[in-house]
Amino acid sequence: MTLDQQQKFRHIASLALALLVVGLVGVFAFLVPVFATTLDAYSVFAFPLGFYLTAQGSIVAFVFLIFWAGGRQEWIDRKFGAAEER
Amino acid sequence: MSLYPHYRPVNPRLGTHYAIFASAIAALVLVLAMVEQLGAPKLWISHVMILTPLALLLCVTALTRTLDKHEFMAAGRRVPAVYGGLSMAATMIGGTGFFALTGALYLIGFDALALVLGAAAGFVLTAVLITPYLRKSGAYTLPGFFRQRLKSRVAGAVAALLLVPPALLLIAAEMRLGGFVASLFVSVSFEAAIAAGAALAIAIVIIGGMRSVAWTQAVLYFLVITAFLVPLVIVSLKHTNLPIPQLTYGELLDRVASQEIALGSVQAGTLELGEALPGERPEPALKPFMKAFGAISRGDFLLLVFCFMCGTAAMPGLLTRAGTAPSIHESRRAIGWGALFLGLFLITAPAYALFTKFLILQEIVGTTPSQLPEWITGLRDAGLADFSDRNGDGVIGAAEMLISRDGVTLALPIVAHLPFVTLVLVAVGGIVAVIGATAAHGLSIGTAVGDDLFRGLVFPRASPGRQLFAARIGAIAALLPTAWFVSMQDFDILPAVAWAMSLSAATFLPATVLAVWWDRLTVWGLLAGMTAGFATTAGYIAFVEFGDMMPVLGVSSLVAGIFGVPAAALAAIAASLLTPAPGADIVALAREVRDPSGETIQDRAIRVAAQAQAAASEGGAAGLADEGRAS
Repeated sequence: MTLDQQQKFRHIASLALALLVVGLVGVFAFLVPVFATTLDAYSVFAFPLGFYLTAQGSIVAFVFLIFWAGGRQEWIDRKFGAAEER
Repeated sequence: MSLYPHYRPVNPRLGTHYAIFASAIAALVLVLAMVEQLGAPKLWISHVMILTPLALLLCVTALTRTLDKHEFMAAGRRVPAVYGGLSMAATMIGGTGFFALTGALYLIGFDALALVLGAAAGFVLTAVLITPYLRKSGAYTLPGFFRQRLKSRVAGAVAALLLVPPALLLIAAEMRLGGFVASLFVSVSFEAAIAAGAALAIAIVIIGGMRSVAWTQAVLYFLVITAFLVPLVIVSLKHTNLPIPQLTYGELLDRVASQEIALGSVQAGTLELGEALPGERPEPALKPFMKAFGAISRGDFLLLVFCFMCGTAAMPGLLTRAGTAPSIHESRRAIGWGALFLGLFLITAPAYALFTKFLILQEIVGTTPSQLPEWITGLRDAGLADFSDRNGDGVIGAAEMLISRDGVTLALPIVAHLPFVTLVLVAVGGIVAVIGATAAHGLSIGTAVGDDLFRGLVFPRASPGRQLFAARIGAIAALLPTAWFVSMQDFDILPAVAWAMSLSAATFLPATVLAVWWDRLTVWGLLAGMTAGFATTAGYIAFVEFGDMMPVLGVSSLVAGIFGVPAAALAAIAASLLTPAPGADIVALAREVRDPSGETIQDRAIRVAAQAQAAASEGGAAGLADEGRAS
């Protein structure tokens, strides 16, 4: 790959990753509370599931998402020749 | 040769220093708990308990004093990920999270989770869309990033001006809470407490800038979370036999629900958002804790999540933290740790609210008005709650138990009959949270004034010392008048925070995201985006709240960002496409921002400037390099 192509692929891959993460945030921050009452039919740790996911599950998911996306982004950067020297 | 190594080494003894401060705080609490058992007067305990941590914060400030611009604006880029995360979480929690969020969760239960979700989701957006790229640019401030990315001093100056209103709203909210709580525990008036808090925040900002703010906040997060967890863990251990309140309150949910039914707490239906969010005056918790969308409607809930998410993601006080990380890798990790520490608080807050509600209801259900527990007089005297049999039917109903939103956090140690030290610990946790957040937002104004208005617009060749002087004056000019305003004017803090979130979301989120991800963005696009977002949001708030405009589609002014964010994005894209495409140098900068390899853009600019100067005048290169380093 030429340098220019590498740059282009890296941009597309990073953008795709960012959009994927934003989409997942949308699921946890918007879809889960909307369907909380439906999900409440199930329960986890003695909590109704909908409430649990809104109050704790989403936040835990967000933390994982940040670390996971950070790792993936660095993988993309290495793969397309733009890794940060450390 | 680069003036800076690419990765900046951190202090190897950092953990030791941190542990010393943390154990000093823990030791203080334990000693005071013992002294209380020996019968020391309460006033004495509360003074020692509140003043010692504040003195400790001043110690950290004194240790991190600096006159170097690089240290003042970016903490020397030597804050490792974990500590950066601690200080980001402390900024985000602040007094508003500590008192107002917990209180809102008590009063409207599930519906207040909109604020929790919004704040946490904002961290994810900023982690993938903005922060690592800001770190790569190396700009000290968000306006500085615009100035560098589009090579436009005007863009930086406009951003610096638009950054001020939301930051001032947040500062005002924090100060009001801090003054309210401090005046309950220290024998000073509300006004004097605000003045003292403002003075402390100013000291932190002007003595060490970002360096002091980052390190004091890393220390005070420990105090905040300890203060929040200690009473809760004790209560959880007492009532559920497990010290993990976050996981054990599930089994109390049913019991609280039946208590609520016994007391007759039934919400008539959803309200307009402005009324549904609890206000400052004591009010009854009529909405059952678990009922989803019982006070705030489903649509308003989602709008609130959206505005808080975008506002958090683009909050200038948080984004500048990107610059303090030693590398891009570390800045990504710092946001993750920040979300973890903030998340620890956010998943604890509903537990705190629920345990408080459980304990209060447990003692009230089935008692007659003459047998009210004695702690109620203490709460009533402090103006935090008012339980009385208003309708004279011989029982206390849900509608007759008024509790103040900002007093719920303080109520838990009282209703759980914990020692007085625990109560003061909670109070001091809130007070230091207020001071940390005030300093952080004040600093974001100060650095914008020093780096973007003074140097960026007016005096491009000002010496670093003069720039820092301007930054300090800017921070003082932001904090002192706000303190005066807060001590004069009554206002409710939750709407102020919501407006600040909407304003920062609309002004900065589309502009920053486009500046990072879109090569075609022009200066005009950026200016149009920021001003359109700000004008739409501020105009909507002003006309609905202070004029007599009817809300469009019933959208409350508290979530004005829902109009501002799309307006800003559309204006930025349209204006960019209508103006000539940016030159090759601007596009190259845009690509470089997204490329993590190599030195930061700012370091390169400094190096090039220093080399040019050194070449121009032989000899004295060391002195010039020093000057270039600080520019």
